[in-house]
Parts: sequence; structure tokens; C-alpha cells
Amino acid sequence: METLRFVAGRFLQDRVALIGAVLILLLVLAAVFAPWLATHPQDVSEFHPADRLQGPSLAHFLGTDRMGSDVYSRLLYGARITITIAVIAISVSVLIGVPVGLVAGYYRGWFSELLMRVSDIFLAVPQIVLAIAIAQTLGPSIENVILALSATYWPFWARLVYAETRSIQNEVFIEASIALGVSPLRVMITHILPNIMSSIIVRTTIGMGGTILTAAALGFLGLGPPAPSPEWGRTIAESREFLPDAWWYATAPGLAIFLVVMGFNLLGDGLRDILDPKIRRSRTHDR
Amino acid sequence: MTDAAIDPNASASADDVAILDVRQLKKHFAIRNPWGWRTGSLKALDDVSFTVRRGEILGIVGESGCGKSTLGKTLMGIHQPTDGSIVFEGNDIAGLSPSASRDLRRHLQYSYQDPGASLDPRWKIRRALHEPLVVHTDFGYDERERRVRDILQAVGLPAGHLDLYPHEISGGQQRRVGLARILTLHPSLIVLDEPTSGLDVSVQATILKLFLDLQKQFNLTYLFISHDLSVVRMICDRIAVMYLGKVVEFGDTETVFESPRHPYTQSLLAAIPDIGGRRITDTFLLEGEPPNPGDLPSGCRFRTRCLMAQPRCAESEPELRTDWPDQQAACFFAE
Repeated sequence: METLRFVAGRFLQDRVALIGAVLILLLVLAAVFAPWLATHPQDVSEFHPADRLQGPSLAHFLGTDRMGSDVYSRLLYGARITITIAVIAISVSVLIGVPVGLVAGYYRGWFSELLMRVSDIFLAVPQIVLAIAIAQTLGPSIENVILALSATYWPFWARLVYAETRSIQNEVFIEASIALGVSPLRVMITHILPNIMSSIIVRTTIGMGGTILTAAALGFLGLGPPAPSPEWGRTIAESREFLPDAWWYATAPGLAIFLVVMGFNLLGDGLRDILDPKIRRSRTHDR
Repeated sequence: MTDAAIDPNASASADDVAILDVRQLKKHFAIRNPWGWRTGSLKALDDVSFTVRRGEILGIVGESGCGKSTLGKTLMGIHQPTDGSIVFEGNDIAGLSPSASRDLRRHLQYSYQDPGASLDPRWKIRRALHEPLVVHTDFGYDERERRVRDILQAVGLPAGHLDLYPHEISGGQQRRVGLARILTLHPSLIVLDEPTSGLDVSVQATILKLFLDLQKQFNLTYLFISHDLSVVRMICDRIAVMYLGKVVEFGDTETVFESPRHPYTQSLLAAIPDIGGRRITDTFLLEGEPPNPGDLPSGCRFRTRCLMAQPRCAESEPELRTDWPDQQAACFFAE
């Protein structure tokens, strides 16, 4: 509780992290309240060819696209897709990667080696290439994008947790618990995991940004959810042929992706500084 | 689960005397080249045998790197022994992991050199003290809390400390919490690993007195691992002197301190800075560093630094000789 208040206090002083948090908050609000915020909620699936490619106006804040749909409304609904993909893909990656890293880091032997070599193989292939291969093979859909991202992202958490577990195992309090007769599972869950949690949180925050970027790239390549989905990557791909005349068409989703990814990166960097006890101590002395 | 788990028939004669019996205990660490091939072995423990009697304080002394801590950790099951037996309260526990042999090891506990570091920095003292009871017993929260408070009082800490984090209390208090954590299980034998190092002399005296008080109160037996010979002389009933993974001298503390037989013990004792008193012997001083434990000399492992070394010492290894009352030494020429 005390720690929480301390972190919250430091957080408010850290402007960069705060900007990141605000950007992410805006994304979440946009996604949750999309039906109320959107001026033309039906435009996600409806077309008005007569109004195509109109510039920003009071009727269409961000103009209209090639089908005459409202870009602003579609952007809000696109946020829902982005959040869904990122949250599920990251959760799956964490749920696979963290236990794999814990077990491989705690035990020593051929099984640990096997787990880490498998994750090395995944890491050796460029992530976007692997994701393209998976999405291409299984066909374009939200589910397959999530699957492709989960399959390519979990090794990052496995690596991180493995390294953190190995290093914390040299701490006396871990050995003391083992000597006391605490079972391996209990040591991992009650001692190791809470002590490496801050690294996992930081990695997960920054990972969200990366996942959103990769998801948009898959959408851009036509491997994301099929038309008429308002997915941001797909929207940018559709808008290319109308550049530079219909500049609003590409700028809106492009700027959205940029701000959201930057938001997660800023928040992640800020959290790293706040949660790292060594940096925390030196910063406290500075004051 | 009660503490009266000892079978009344089994605890008749032998058990009353020997609480821990260590036979030919070996712990060899593999030395590997950069390709992971085993190129040799570091003999951290080599044929260590001794018996701890119920109620005594047995001191284990020696230079750093002689295998004292490895001995303690092998007894605890943190290291797997390469060979040999460890019989604790009638059960062989060698090679069993602490969690697998939980019930057998419940009364054998280990106190770390730095008890502050042995506490999880994110856990309050209360949770740290409850943990052993959660793991070893099926007591409810109230029962555990009652026992924790009793023990806390026994080690001289106020109950208010239960709600503090380890970094919020002093080093001496952390040491008491570390002890309390072990004592909650009502152990019979505690391995104390360098329990006084890093404390200033006044705190040392308080902690030693606490050990002795607790020993009486809880009927404890201590295995006292230390390199501080004056403390060992003050507190231990018997001592074992280790050199490079082997016990070279064993006996009653006073006998060994008055008349050390092994040349290594003689040099070790001569090195104690003794204010006011007579030096035990001025004839031996330890020269040079101990040899690389991964590449031991043939025969007697002390011969490279021994002033009495003869050709015979390079040919065969001396065993512990029982030629003296209450004392044994592993040297061909000891008198």
C-alpha cells in the first residue's frame, strides 16, 4: 500500500510517463465510448458514394473516405479493434512466456534448455516475417492476427523472466526459503514472481506499443480483418492511392497509431524509472 | 502435527547421544572448460565424518574456502552430496531436497550469515515468520500468530515489529527475526553459519548470549560454523578443524586449544591475536595461500604449507588418528 502510494506520487512528478498515460487513457475512452462519440456510427458498415473523399468539415470532423464514410467515426471503432488485438495477444504472450521463463529459470537441466532453445528459435526469425507467414497461412481475420502476434511475442517474456529468475535465485532469501522446505512452486509464485513483477510490467507496457504497430502492419498488408473493417492499418492501405489530395484520409489513422505507440513507450520508460528500486533510490537522493 | 513426533522406542540410547551423524560425506563440484566438458572436480567436501551429540555446540572452524559453508548447505539439502550419508534423528536425509524431505528436516534448520538478506524484501516480518508454519503445519491463522508472537518475545523483539518490512529494522534486529523464523518450527538442531560476522563486538556478545539462552529454553543443539576462533573457544563444547574439505582435527574445545596436535591447527591458533595471554605456540606460522582446491597435492593436502612435511606425506593421505583422549588428528607425525 505504501509502495503503491510512493509509485503514484513519483508517477505524478514524471511528466513523460504522465503524457504516455494520458494518451493511453484517450485510446481507451475512444474505444469504450465509440458509439456515443461517433457522429456517424453506422458508417462502419454503410457507404455513401455521393459523399466520397470530402475534406474535414463540421459534418465530418476528419472528412470522408473513398466510400463516403465518416473517417472520424471509423477511427473510433478502429480503436476498439486495436485494443482487442493488443490486449488479447499480450495477455496470451504473458500467460505463456512468464510460466515458461519461470520454470526454465528455476530448474536447471535439459528441460530448461529445451524451453529456452525453442524460444530462441522463435526470436531468431524476424517477428513481422513470422507473423506474416502465420496470418497468410490461416487467412485474414482478427483471430488470426491475435494468434500470429501471440505466437511471435511470448518468447520476449520467456527470455526476460528467465534472466530475472536466474539472477534473483542468487539472492539469499530465495535459498533461505528453499532451505526452509518451501516447495518450488510456492517459491516461484510467492517469492520470485512478486520480486520480478516490475520488470514484467515495464516489458508488457512497451510490448503493447510494439504489438499495436505490428498489428497495424499486418492490417496494412491486407492480413488483418477484411474490409469493411475500420482497422487502422487497413485504412492507411486504402488511403494510399488518394494521397496527397485526400491527406486527412491517411493522416487520421497514421497519427492515431503514432500517438498510441508513443503513449505506451513513454509510459513504459516512465514505469521503468519509477519501479526500478536502484534508480528510485538515486532519484530520491537527488531531491 | 505435534512436536512430540519422535518415536519413544527409537529415542532410547543411540539417538539421545547422536542427533546428527555424518559419514564419509563428499561434495565434488564439476570444473568445466568453456565447452562444458568436465575437466576435473573441486573437492569442496572430501570424506567428512563427525557426530553431533544432542544438546552440544559443535564448532566448525577453518580458513575461508575450506568447505565450512558447503558442509552446512549440503547438510540442509541445498547442495546434493556426491556421496556419503547424513543421518538426522535416525533418518538418512542425504540427497533429499528440502521440500521432498520436509517432515524429516523440520527439526534441522539453517541460520544464514546475513539474516537480513534471508528475508524477502517485499514481505512484512509477520508474513516471513508465518511462512515456515504455513509450509510445515496445518495450523490456522490464529494458532500461527500465537506461536509467532511467543517466539518473537523469546528473541526479544516487540510484537509491533510484525508490521514492518525488513529494511525498516536494524541489522541486529534482522538477525533476531532470522532466528525467530527458524525457531517457529521448534527445531532440535540449528546450523549457525558465521552467526557473529559483521557485527560489532558489543552486539556480538548480545547475540551469543541470546544463542545460549535460546539453547536452554528450546533444548537446542548448534552446529556453529565460524572462522572467529575466540568466539568458538568461548561457546563451543567440541570443534572440528577443516582444511580444504577435510576434517584434520577434532576434539573437545579446551583440549584442542590447549594442545593442538595437527600442524595446521597449531598454525591457525598461533594466528589468533591474543591480548595479554601467552601465545599458544610461536613455532608455526602459516605461509602462503592454500593450494587450488581443484588441483589438490598428492597425499596429505596440507603438506605444501607444512613445516613438518616428509616424503611420506606425499605418498599417502593420513586418516584421523585416535591416539589421544578426546581428540583426533589427521597427521602422521602429530605427537
